This record gives sequence, C-alpha cells and structure tokens, in this order.
Amino acid sequence: MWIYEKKLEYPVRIKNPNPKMAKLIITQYGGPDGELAASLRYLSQRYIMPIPEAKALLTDIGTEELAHFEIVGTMVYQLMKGASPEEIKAAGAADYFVDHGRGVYPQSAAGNPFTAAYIQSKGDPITDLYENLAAEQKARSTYEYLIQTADDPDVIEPLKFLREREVVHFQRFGEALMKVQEYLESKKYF
Amino acid sequence: MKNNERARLLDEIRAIEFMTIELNLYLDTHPDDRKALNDYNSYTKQLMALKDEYQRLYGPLSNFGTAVSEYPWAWLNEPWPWELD
Amino acid sequence: MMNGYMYNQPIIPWDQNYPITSYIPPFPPNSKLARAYFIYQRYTRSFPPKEALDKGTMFPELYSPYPYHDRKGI
Repeated sequence: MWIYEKKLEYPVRIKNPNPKMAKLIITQYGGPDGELAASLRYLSQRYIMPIPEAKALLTDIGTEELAHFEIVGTMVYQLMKGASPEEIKAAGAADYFVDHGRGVYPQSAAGNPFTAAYIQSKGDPITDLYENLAAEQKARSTYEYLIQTADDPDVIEPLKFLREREVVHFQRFGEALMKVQEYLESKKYF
Repeated sequence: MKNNERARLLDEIRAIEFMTIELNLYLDTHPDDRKALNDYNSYTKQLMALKDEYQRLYGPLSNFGTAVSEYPWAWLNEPWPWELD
Repeated sequence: MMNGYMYNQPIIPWDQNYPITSYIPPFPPNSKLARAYFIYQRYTRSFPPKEALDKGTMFPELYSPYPYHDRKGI
C-alpha cells in the first residue's frame, strides 16, 4: 500500500505564470510518455515478475514516478496560478481553460485525455522490461524537447532533474533485464 | 524567520532522502553491495533524526500513522507541497 | 550500452585517471544473438547529498547533463 509524504522530491518554485508552458508541460502529467503512464505501467507489471529484484525495482520506480507525477502537476498548477483569462487566451490555452479552469487535468500537450492505451503490461517479464527501457527513453526525449521550449530557470531546473532520473531508471531496468534473462535461461521453462 | 527555518530543514530532508532513494534503487539490483547497504543505513538513520526534528516543530510529514499529531489535527498544516512558502 | 547523452559532445570521463572506456569489458564469451546486454554499474564514488539532488543522481558515472541553454548562440 502507499502512504504519502508531504513534500516534493525536488522543489518547484515558479514565480512567473506561463499558461503556454503549462499546456506543454502537462504532457508529462497525462500524456503518452509521462509520469502517470510510467507509474501505472510499472506498478501493473510488477505482479508477474519472477525474481524479487524485479518486483522490488518495479514497485520502487513506480512509486518514484508518482512523486514525479506530483512534481509535474505542481509545475502546471504554478504556471497557471495568477494568470488572467486574457493572458490565458493570448497564450492559446483558452480551450484548456474552458474545460478545466486553472486546474490540473491528465492530458497530453495535444489535448488527448490520459488512457491506458499509452501503456503495456504484457505479462511477460522480458517483454515488459524492454517496454520500460523504451518508456524511459521516450520520457527523456520529451523532457529534452520541453527544456528546449522553456526559458525560465525555475521551470528548466525541475525538468533537468526529471530528465536525469529517466537516465538512472534506464540503467536500473537494464540491470533487472540482465537478472531476469539469466534467471529464465537457468530455469529453461517457457 | 520560522518559515525560512522550516524550508531549510525540509530542503535538508529532501537531499538526504534523495540519497536513500538512489541507494534503494541501486540495492534493488545490487542486493549484496555492502558499501551501498552501509551508506543506505547511515543516510536512513540521519533521515529519521531529521524527520523527527521537523515533525516535532511543524507536524506530521506523512499520514496514516507515521507520526503523532498535536491538537488540533496538524496533518492539515500548510503549506502543501504544491504551494510556495 | 553507453549513456552518453551530452549534446553534440564526446563522452568525457569524469575522472581522467579512471577513463570510462578502459573498464568496459568486451562482450562476454557465449554472448547470444537477439538480446540486449547491459553493463552492471559498480558503486564507488558519490556526489554529496545537495549536489546529488541538484544533478538528479548521486552517481558521477550516471550523470548526463543537458546544457542546452548554456550553448553559445542560443
């Protein structure tokens, strides 16, 4: 089960609202390669993992992704907070505003609502781990594109943190893949 | 100022907890790395002491029975993580 | 697989006396086709806590900065 800690893993202190940026960053909240997708993917896959290293790793990274989900949600909240409807309209975010106000809703940058179609839990530990390697790369690329479109250091610093975490997770999933492959080869079952 | 002290203590907790998160993930795939385990335990003890101090002054950091609360129910205390101090 | 994500730059070892390229082992004998191989990380050194949080990792060998806004001419 989960308990909650009342602090962000990395601090977010954005002083200047920017609804245009909010509409882009939201893609890491509810988009195809975002933190909610990552978390549900790993937390769903962990059940069928054959070795405790993989069960622990998927649980722990899945939990850390929820902490990242919270960071991204905070960024969207702070970027919308204090923006007037005129500023929001000028930023091209009026369509989000009429459906969600300045609230936080899980959708992609293109406006597609979150769906489990973004994830896979194939029930095959090898397949799932390769899926996760790809997911971490997709997230890394997305953070790089977001960093490229941002110009506020208060926004760029948390994005860089989140990007580096994807690099670390990629290495961990690679190590888990090695262990699972060795284990399954030694058992020679299918 | 009380708020600056609270933020400073929380930032210290953040940094030490990050070390435990990193070492936790590393240990998941390297369960027999003694150095990593020793460092994890050492940071964990440090973290527990820091959290005790924070919670004594500012109320529970976690819900569901992780820490006791003064009266009135201090879990409600602001700011919440998405708010600026 | 190497994690060299530095933007348009070669992979720079973080410690000149312990260059990354010299301890990557060749593929082990009996390596199979149609599967990926990963090098296990070995923990030796670490950034101190505040620096680790700032960088996003405690491990220098996993640190892969993205200095997009520090490039000249941007």
